[in-house]
Amino acid sequence: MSSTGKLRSADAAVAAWSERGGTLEDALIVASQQVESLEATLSSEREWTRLVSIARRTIDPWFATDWPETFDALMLVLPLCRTLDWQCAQCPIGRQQDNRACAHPEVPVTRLGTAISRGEQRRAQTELTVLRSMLRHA
Amino acid sequence: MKRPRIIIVLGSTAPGGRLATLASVAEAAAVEAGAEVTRCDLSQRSIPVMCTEDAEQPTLPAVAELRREAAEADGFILLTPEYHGNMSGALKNWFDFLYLELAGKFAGLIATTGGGGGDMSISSVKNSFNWCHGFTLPFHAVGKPDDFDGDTLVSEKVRDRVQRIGHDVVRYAPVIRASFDAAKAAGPECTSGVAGTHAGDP
Repeated sequence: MSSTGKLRSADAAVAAWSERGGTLEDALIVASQQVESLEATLSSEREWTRLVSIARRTIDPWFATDWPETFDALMLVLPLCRTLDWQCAQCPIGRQQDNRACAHPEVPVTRLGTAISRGEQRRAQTELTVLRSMLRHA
Repeated sequence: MKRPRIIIVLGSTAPGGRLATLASVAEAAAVEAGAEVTRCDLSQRSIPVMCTEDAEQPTLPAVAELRREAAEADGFILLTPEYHGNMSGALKNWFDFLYLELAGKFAGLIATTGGGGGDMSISSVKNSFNWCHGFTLPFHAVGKPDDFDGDTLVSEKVRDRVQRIGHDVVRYAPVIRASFDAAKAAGPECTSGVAGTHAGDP
């Protein structure tokens, strides 16, 4: 399976979280798996090119529930949003970014999505490193 | 142990670009070093040009937020593009809204230039931060045009320097702040040093 194939859609990520037990710890595990899958995608030139073309599709991705038709970086962390009922101030990621939502323009998830849609591979890798470190500190 | 709280200030009114590239490298290093990192991207903020005669400015949500986050921070990583041998107007405006929020804090400095060496803008940022009784890292990083391919950083030397700054700010910021706060709490006597001049300040 390609690395983009390992990346779960938003719905699949939520389902995986639910099947594990639906706890905060489960959400962090699924989010880490999502990040790991995207890291593999970013390190493959062929997969990266494919990802950029998906991310540039000019339709509203809405969490990329239909991935791999659309891409939305929020699909990496969506199980956390569901676990905490969108209360970013309660989220171990949200708390690390001054309680800001992951859709805020100044936070790593949004910056990651921007870097991918702009085709900035090295920047995307760096932003993903930030997100991975935040998950480790969560 | 409480994680150091670091703010990365992007001192450009243009979003993204090389400054944001260096900010991301610094942020990755600071988070890796154990900090909680928040960005203050001035291209995303609606900060007016500071006017001492405008009594409404301090009540503006964007200004109040800027001051709150600076007051809560242990340290800063300040990035500026070099304009006419100086820091950007946006970053200087950020400084103009702050004073006590920066006292006893620690900062690492990074600049991008269009060809200059960057020392002028770095010096101006150091000067303003020190003027607010803040302390700066005796080491900085500058990204020049040849260090990038487009907005992608290709210079490993600059990457290394930026990463070192990220780690050092996380290392020293809590130490400086704790020492300054302890001296400030000791009172206004000469033995409290510069912190003593802030005894009684909020």
